[in-house]
Amino acid sequence: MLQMLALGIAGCRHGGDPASARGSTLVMAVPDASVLKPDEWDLDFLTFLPLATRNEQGELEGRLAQRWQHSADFKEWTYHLRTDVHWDDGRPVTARDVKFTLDLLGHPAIAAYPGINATVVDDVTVRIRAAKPHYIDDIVYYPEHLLRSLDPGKFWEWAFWTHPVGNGPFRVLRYLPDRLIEFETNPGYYKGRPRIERVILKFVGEASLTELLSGNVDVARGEPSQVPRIASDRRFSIYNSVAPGAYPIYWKIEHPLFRDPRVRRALVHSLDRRELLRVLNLPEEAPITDAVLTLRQLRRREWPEPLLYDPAGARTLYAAAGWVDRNRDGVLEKDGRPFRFTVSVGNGFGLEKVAVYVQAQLRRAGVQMDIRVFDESVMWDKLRAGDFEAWLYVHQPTSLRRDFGRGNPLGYANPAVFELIDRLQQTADPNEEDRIYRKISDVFQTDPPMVRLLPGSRVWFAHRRIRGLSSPFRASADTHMEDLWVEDATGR
Amino acid sequence: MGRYILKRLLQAIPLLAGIATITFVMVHLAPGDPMDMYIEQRSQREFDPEVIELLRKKHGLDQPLPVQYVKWIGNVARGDFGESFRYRRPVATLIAERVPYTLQLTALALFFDALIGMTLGILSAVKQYSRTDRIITVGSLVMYAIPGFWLGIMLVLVFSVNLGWFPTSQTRSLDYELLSAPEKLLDRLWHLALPVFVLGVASAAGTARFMRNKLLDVLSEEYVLAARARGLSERAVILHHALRNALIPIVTIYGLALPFLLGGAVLIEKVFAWPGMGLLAVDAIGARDYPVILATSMIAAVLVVLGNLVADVTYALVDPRVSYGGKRLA
Repeated sequence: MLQMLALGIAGCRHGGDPASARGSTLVMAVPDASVLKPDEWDLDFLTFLPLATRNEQGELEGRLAQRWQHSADFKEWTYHLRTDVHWDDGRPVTARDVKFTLDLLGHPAIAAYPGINATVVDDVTVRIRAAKPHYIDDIVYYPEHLLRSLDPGKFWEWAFWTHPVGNGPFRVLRYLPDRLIEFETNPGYYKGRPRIERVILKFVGEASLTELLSGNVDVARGEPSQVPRIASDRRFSIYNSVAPGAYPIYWKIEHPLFRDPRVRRALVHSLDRRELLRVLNLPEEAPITDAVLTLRQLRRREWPEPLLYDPAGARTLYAAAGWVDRNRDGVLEKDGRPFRFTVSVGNGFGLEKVAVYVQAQLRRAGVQMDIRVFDESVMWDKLRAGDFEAWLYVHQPTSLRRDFGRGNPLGYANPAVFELIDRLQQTADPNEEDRIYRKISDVFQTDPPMVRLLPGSRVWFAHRRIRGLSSPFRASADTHMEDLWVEDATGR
Repeated sequence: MGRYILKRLLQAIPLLAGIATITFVMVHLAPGDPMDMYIEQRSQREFDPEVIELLRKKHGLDQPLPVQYVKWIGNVARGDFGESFRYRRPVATLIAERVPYTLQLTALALFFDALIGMTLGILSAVKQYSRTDRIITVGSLVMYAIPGFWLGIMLVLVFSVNLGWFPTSQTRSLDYELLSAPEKLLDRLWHLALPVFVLGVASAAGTARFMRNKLLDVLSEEYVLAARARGLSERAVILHHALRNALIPIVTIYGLALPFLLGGAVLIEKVFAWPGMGLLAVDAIGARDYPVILATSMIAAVLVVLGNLVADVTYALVDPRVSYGGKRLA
């Protein structure tokens, strides 16, 4: 009876494949309505424009701004805005909107970007000055004429965020709390009307995979562990994006096991990272490197050769450092002590599984690695207290100073790296940044503070009718929405 | 009865104050800093320490714990639960949006529990030791033992993903606004079916067992024998004599079922992406969103206290032998 009722209801609700019946509408699974908050910039880009964004080569490309100059010290930038960009209500976007937004985001109640001073030179020219070298590529701008009278103290509660007046490729059609937000194309978009007519962001919590498999959404961000299930379904395509970040094991350098750089290099040689990519369903073409990378270097595929998987070379290095399996129990020893340590793993990002594979690989090399999984916040407390031996977590280029700079929690104390990171704080010149990152990477070849196990990557699943996505740099549906299209039944 | 209820409500104030204090202390003593989560999970840029300090100050996290406690309890007394760290919106607004969904789910699960649990319990008792009784008994024990979250995932896999009979998440379809009124009702029921079933089935199984035992106890009472001796039909004996008395303890346990259902709803909402208070609470715990954790804990505590009160009052109303303070309530 339940079956008949369900079929009856389902039958009167939908007919055929829901995904193919939606025409030129794309439905994307997102966790919840927090995506509408003004600091979720990946989705902000649907309705608002930044001054510039990074293109596929990692270079700045103008959006609101058509050209710009900066001072020699990169502390002051002057942007010249396009004159053909309008808000959805028809008003032109001006330098006053840019200044207003930066002042707003620096307001003490919001404190997103304090310390940035913007000056309106004329309607289409704005000068932005900060105490440190900078470039701004992750801020979108809001309409001054609609927001100036609102209370910044209630910034996050403004109804504007759920019914925004924007200037981007899409504009909000309707917002249904706890269910969805629907966008339509902006006919006045300065780059021309996007090909997808409607975009629906459906709030599905953690049910994105089941929503996708049920045909209720067209695009969802996934987990590598879900790849085999999706790969076996011909309705979907899989796209992988890569980012400069990585999932490394950081060594606590002060620990007696890891003090010797030869041991740290031997540990890197003990790990078959290609195998890790394979067993974890990550793209095999993803970069394996021991370098730290800028976005430009990643996108230009400029990275040095990694320390390769080399069990024999690892054994030589272990032996040179005094670690040999003398009693033939499968574990290296030195001065009667086994090579054994515990890695602390945060419980996010599926890193527990990574740790298990690494454990197996190190066991083959005679290294016994125990795993302790912590709630992420607990892990941070332990890190700050220095209560760890090794630490498996996410590395972002933006955390370079925290991870390896002065006072870092690893006890890594390479003066050359300290100096290079200090220099990084004094520049925003992309060429100089590339040079500094290369030099840091050179140091890491001989004195590695971590082993980069896996590249920073994200996996996206999309119904095959959604076109315009590609791996690895156009894989994110949210940031490339305006370039996507929906193939109709005739294959157009 | 009014005096009794007022007295119980006044007694609940120190109880709730105690719960509030313990919850506040435990939440703040738990390891982790909400700003860590904010910075590590939600940012794609290096956060200036100055910004972090500003945020800490803005949320009052820079103040000593006793000061934070006094401010929080004062605000709660005025109905102000503060602002969510994660959503940056007033907690009261967030909860007001979520509570109706949780109540919808729990109320229907309670109804399902009563309808199915009692029916099966009666059937099982009147057909004692028959094949029907054995099937119901084994089925009840199995359903009672299965963890709700596992059952939910399995049902989604079978009935949503593979068969496509039910939706996998949410409360309504995308085109809900375009439907006619009857279609809207069907759509709501369609979305409620699986979560209500999963939430209600374990307690229905418990109710069935309880109902069977109580009814069997009553059926062996002398007044039931007397009714049968007077020539009443078996149907009349069960419905008019045995069942009414067997229902007394059953009805009262529904007040106590509320905490059980609220606890279950936390997991069920997570599995079905049901936008209720449980989902809000679970996500808040993960993000160390103190104001939301505290507010949802307090609301759950209030509901549990009220549930107990309802149970006691109902007991007095349905059982004429019970009186409070020397006076009968009904």
